Order: sequence, then structure tokens, then C-alpha cells
Amino acid sequence: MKRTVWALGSIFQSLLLVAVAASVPVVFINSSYIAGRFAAILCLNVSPELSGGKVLAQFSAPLDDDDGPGGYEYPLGGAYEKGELDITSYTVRFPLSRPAWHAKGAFWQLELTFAKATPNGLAGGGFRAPAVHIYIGIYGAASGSTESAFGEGELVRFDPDHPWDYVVSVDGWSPSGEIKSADGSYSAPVDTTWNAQLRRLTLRIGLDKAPALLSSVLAGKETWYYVLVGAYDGAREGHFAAVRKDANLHDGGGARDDDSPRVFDLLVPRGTSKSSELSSEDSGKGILALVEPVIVGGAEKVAQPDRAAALAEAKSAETRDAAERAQKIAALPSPSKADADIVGELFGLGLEERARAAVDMRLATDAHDPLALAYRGALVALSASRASGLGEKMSLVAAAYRDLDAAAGGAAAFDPKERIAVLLCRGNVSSAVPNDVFGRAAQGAADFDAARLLAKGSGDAALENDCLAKAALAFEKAGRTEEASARWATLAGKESLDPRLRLELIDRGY
Amino acid sequence: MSDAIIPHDLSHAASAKTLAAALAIAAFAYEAWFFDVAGRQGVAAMGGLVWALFCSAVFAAIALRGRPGKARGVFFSVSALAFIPSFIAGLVEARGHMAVSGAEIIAAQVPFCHIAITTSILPAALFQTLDFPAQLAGSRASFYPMLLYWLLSLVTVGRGWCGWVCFYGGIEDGISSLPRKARLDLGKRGPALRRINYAVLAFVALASLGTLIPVYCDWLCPFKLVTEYSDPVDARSYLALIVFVGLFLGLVVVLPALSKRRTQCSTLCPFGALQSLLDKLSPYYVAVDTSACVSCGACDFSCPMFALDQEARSTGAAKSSCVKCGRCFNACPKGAIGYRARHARSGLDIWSTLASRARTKGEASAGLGFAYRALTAALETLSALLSPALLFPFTALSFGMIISTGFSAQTMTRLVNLIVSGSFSAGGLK
Repeated sequence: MKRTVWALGSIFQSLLLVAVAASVPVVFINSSYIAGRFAAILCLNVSPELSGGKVLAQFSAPLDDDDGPGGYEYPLGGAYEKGELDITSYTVRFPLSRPAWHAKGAFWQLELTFAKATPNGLAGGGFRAPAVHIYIGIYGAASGSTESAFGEGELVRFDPDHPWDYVVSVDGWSPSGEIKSADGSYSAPVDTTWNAQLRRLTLRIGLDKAPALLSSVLAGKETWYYVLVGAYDGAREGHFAAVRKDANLHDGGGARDDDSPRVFDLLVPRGTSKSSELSSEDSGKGILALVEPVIVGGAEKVAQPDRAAALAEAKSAETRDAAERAQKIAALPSPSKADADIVGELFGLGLEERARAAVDMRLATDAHDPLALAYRGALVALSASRASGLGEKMSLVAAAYRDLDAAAGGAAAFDPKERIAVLLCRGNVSSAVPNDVFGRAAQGAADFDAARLLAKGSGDAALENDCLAKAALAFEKAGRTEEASARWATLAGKESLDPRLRLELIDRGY
Repeated sequence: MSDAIIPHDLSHAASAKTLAAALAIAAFAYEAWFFDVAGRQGVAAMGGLVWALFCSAVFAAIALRGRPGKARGVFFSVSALAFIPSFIAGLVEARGHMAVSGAEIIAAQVPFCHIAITTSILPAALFQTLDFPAQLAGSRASFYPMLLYWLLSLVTVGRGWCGWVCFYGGIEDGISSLPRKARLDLGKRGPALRRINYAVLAFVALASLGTLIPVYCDWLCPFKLVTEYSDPVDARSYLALIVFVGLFLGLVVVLPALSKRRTQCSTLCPFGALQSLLDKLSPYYVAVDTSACVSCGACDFSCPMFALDQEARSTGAAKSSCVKCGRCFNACPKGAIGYRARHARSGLDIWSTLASRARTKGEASAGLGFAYRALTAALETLSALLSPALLFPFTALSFGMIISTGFSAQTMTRLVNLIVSGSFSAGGLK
């Protein structure tokens, strides 16, 4: 009996030691998944003392809407690049009364993220093109203003129901920003931090020496914000460049008249649109465009979408697509040499074998044909998903990327339609393979973004929307939720959407 | 604890041991290829290949000799040396400087390392708050992955982390093994130094809990000198600078070089103390065969962690500060020290017992001699393959190799780039 117990114990121990040795690579391979489970279970947050306070509210703003009321062009000077005036998110944090680790005194932190960042090598602010005005209203203030703090400034007027009490102005050419009160009795510098990698501008408003009203935000007062972005022009009041009918080196273009708002991007509450607000001016009567604030702490009235109806629509769209696919397959001619010309269609219809033969035909003619390489890469990646061994999967995915990367590199001079196909092939593979092993999700998102811009240029709205959604999903997979949110917000602003995308948006609270 | 360890090894036929070692080397090489080479392209694949070959060669040396010898120390120090340029170059490329700025703190982008677990674990458990401005997930240097690696280390290598995995420990390990002879004898202070280590852990954990500030990282961590630090801007930060530079020079460079002991690891590092406290979760420990030990004390002097003394030798097990580096294996003139699986009743295992039975039967049986010889060889190979002497180094070196893959392979890639194009960039690394 004793010997049996010893023998069983010895076998168990051997198995345990083997399991321990095997656990190391297995855990590392699955570390992203397990870490994700930790995140779901533990729900930790970085101490707000370090990051600037708990998030009180976060607003996502659509991409590519840095065109004022619509059609605005950036000034022609070399310091302005498309996307630099495009806000993608705005965050308000709870004020901190006793911050820790390298911070001084009580402060209140606000954050803005832009679609594009170009470092400013010439000045202390770190960024280049935007000038930002954040008008802050605090509930219970006895006075306030509905006019600009900067004379002509932005050429907008503010909602009379929500006058502003303080305005923060920031640009990349000054070492710090400034906050001042509506009555001019108070002004102070605002610490700014620019993170080029995250394209994020962080503002810290000191509260220790601030007036009682501003300090009252510490008590959690309801607040509202007009977040306005203009093109920087140091010679103008408020540093917002003028916008004229035609752009020049310093002024933007595309305005109806000289009274048009000088605002390229604006944060708007849900249910309203930036372009409608900024085009509400009546120059004949001398009435400036009316802008509305986003409110924090108040009740936001947004109609709840009907998810059941959206789900039914999505299902019927799915059925319709399946029927169309079947029809297309039935209508296909028999396999022939002409397949080489319809390789994309064959791949899209899921006819892998035929697509593979078509790819081979194209590569026999031109071994560097980017389109054929892209589809071959996608087909190899598909076969990796069916492979059983981990090593085989890794090898196949590596082989797939050799083709996909070569195709993406070689497709630069391609016509847009085929370039889109190449980008989609790589993007789809990058967002499908495990990000913890290959780390390609962010690159996939970039591919979808590039494909989106090409689709937009060619007027294919459905494809543009599809790419937006795929980019958002890929950014989510890469853990870059803010960038994902900006894309969902952009999608939410679209008028005609595929029902399946509408359902995705509803499930994400849009 | 008088069970024989060495006879267990000696009982195996040399060919079975060699075969077992060859099988383990093949498995390790596949693992190294999988983590370092597969999925990479171009220069990055070349850098990964260099690292994979180096790690495989180290494991081959350990497996064939049956003990860590100097190969472990070479791996450990090279891994640490590879970490520093990779980390610093990465910081400079990403932010233009080594120093932590307000932007990284605000954006919670400061890399998180395993030592910070000791400052963060209590606030995380009690307040669901990470008291360190790091990403929670997204890269290996973020909190959840590091928490996972720590938990994995507890049930695999235990405090062996500090002898095989830690990318800081390799610096001190290398420095402490450079001199031939210790010029400063710290051996008698071992028990006191071990107590200091636990006191530092308690202080760091409680102070961090009380202030929600990573006290160790903020004030004490000497490795800021070779990774990242806060720019000194006021009296407080200048004081912190003096403290961590002093600790680095004193505990990581000067004292190890004089005493041949890892003074920082054994007295200051709170992570090491935490690993010691929880080392019993690991299935391996370093055992002393009390029947073979002649109490010469050679192992006491060779141990960089004060883990061996008269008391440890008499109980047959190294103290919990043991980092399982195996330096004492070489020092012991009787070969009385080796890895042992915890709770093993004796040095003998079922496979070697079955092998010796098969051999006996084979010798007695005329007709089935070949079959018994084959069975004996198979069982002896299995016994050698499953022995702690082979499995612990396999596990520990796997851990060290995989965790260092990112930075070591990147450094190799940078070196390949430097040779090929004259640029120390990680270009081409995927």
C-alpha cells in the first residue's frame, strides 16, 4: 500500500513538473487573453491622483469634421495640416484637491484629443496648428456672458440659457494657456501638457488661488462647455485665424462671408450637428452663428433607439446579402483564365479554391502583382485559421504577412480601387490574428483608415462606413478605446447606414 | 533529509542522460524559435534568431552538464545588459529623453515593472486602484500582464525569478561574480540582512498603501539610473536623485564587487522579499544532501544571497532567499547540492526505480534481454528527462528567455542594424 502511494505520488509529481514547465510558454502565448480576464474581474483604475482626477465626463467627436459649417479649408501656410484642428475627444475630470507625485496644489484637469498631431519644433506648447477656446459655465453663477471673450474672436454667439463664466485659451506657441473670467476680474496661467503620441492636450487649471466660483467645481457643480477650435493666427484676437471665401497663407477658406464662424471644429451635444450650428448665422441681419454647450452633470435628453427593430433590420440585411451572394455565385461563369480578372470577387464570395487558382494565374504573369500577393496573403492567413498546430499557424501567418506587406508596399502607385483591396486584405488579417502574439491590430486599424479615405475620395459611402467600423473594432482590439470611440462617433453622425452598423452603434450607446 | 540526491543522478546511464538532454534541448530550441523568430521578418527575424540561438546554446550547456554552471550567469547578465540599451533607446525614440515627464504620468504611460508589484498589490486589492501611472494593459510593461507574470513565477520558479528572470538582477549577478575572491566578508551578517529585506518589503507595501504613491519607485529604486527617472526640479527630487544614485553605486556596484554577494537583491529589493515569502508555492527548491555534506562551508561563501549557512545545511534545504542560481552546486566538493522537487519523499523516483527493476530482470532473463535493455534505457531517459536537475533549468530559462524576448531580441536587432546600416534603430522589428 505504502509503495503504491509512493508510486502514484511520484507519477503525479512528474506530471506536475511537466505541467509547470509547459505552463510558462502556454501562459505567455495567452497572456493578452488572461490579462483581459484580469481586467474584467479586477476593474482597476490608475489612481486619479496620478492621472489628473477621476473622469467626470468624456465626449467623443467625429473624425474628419474639421471643416466648420462644411467646406472650410485650412489656411495654406505650411504650418497647417489636415486633421490638426479635428477634435476627436474631450474629457472633463473631477477636480483634485490634494494631488500627489510631482503636482502642485489643487487643480482641475481637462483633456482634448486631436485626429492628427504635428510636433511644433519652434515653440514651447508642443503642437502647432490649433488655437483652442474652452468656455466654461458653472451652474449657479450670478452673471456670465454670451459673447466672445475675444472681440471678433470666433464669430459665434453662445446659448443665452447657458452663459459662460470662464474661458480657457490655449495654443501651441505659448508656454502655457490662460484662464480668465467673463467679467475680466480674474486671469491666471493654465498648465498645458502635449502628448504627441496620444495627440492629447492636457490642461490643468489651478484652483488654490482661483475665485470661489471656479473653486466651487470642487463641490461637483453642474458645468457646461463650449469647446471651439480654430486655426492659429497670432496676429488675430483670440488667435483664431479669419476664414474667407478663398484661403490664403494665414486665413482659412470656404466661408460664405466675412461674418462666418472662425471655428473649424466644435464639440456639440448629442442630437445636434456641428455643421447646422455653425451654419446658423444670418449675415443679412448681422446675427452670428449660435452654438450650444455640452453639459456635464445635467440631464441630457437623447431619444433611445429601438434595438429590437435595429436587430430585425440587421438580420434581414444579412439574409438579403446571403441571397445576393448565392445569386452571384450562380451567375459566375465557369472557371477559366478570365478568373484572373475577378480574383477579388471570387475571394469576396468565399470561393477560396477558385480564388487561389486565379491568384496563381496572376502571379504566373507578374510575380510582384500587389493585388495577387494581397489575396494570396489573405488566403494563406485563412488557411492558418484552420491549421491545428501552433507552430504551423505561426509560420502560415508569417508567410501571409510576407505577401501582405509586400503587396501594401508595392500598391502605392496602384489605382484606388485595387489599393483599397490590398489595404482591406491586410487590415482584415491584422484584426483577425491575436494581437498579443502579432501586435498588428493597430496597423490593421491604420489600413482601414487609409482605405476609408480612399473610399471617401471615390464616393463609395458604404465602403467608407464599413472601413470606419472595422477601424474602430481594430482599435478596440489594440486597446486604443479613445480612437475607437472617435470612429464610432463619426459613424453615428452618418445619415444612411447599413442596419448592421446601426446595431453596432446602438450596442455601444450611440 | 538524508535522502540521496546525487546517487539519483549517478544511477542513470550516461547515454540516457545525454538522450534526455538532447530531447530537452530540442524542445527548448523549438520554444526559442517560436517566441523569438516566428512571426518576425527581415532584420527583426535576424535579431530574434541571434537571441534564440544564444538562449538555446545556454540551455544546451546547462542540460549537458546537468547543472547551471557559468552558463546561467552568462545568460542572466547578457539578458540584463541587453535590457538596458533596448529600454533606454526605446524611451529616447518615443519621448526624446530618458526622464519621466508630466505627460507620461498624466497619460499613465510609465512602464510598469515587477518590483512595482510590491507597491501596488495592496492598493489594487483593497481600493481597486493602481498607485502607479502605468497602463493597465496593452504591453508587457503594464500592470495586468506583469501581475500575470508574477503569479506565474510563484507557481513555477518562485524566488528563482531573481536568479534567472529578473532583468535588473543580472547586472548585480554579473558584478558579484567578476572578482575571484571576496575582499569583504558579509557572511556573518546574512540573517540580519535577510531581516532588513523583509522590513523593506513591509515598509514599502504599507507606505504605498497609506499614501497611494509607489514609495519604492519614487524614492529607493536604484535601477532608475539605468532606466528612467524624474528630472530633478526641486529639493525633494534632488534628494531622491542622491538616494537612488547612492543606492545603485553602493548596493549594485561597489558592495557586490567587494563581497561577491548580491547586496541590493538580498537587502533592498522588496520584490525579492515577496518572492521569498511565497517561495513555497514553487515546486522546486535547492536541497543539500545531509549525508554527503561534510560541512566545509564552501557553499556558504559561494552563495550570493546568504541562503546557505550551518542551519540551512543541517536542515537540508537552502533558505527562502535562495534564488536557485546553482552557484553552490559548483562550489560543493562532494556534489551534495542539487535541485529537488518539493514534497518529494526521496531522491529516487518511480521511473529510475522501474528502470533498475527492468535492468535486474533483463540480466536474469536470457531470451528477453534486448527488450529489457530497451525498456531500461527508455525508463532511464524518462527519469533523466523528468528530473528536477533538467526540468527546473528548462522552466526557469524558458521564463527568462520569453520575458526578455522583447528587449533582448530588440537589442540584437539594433546590433544587426548597427552592423548593417550603422544605425542603432529597431527598424524592421515587428
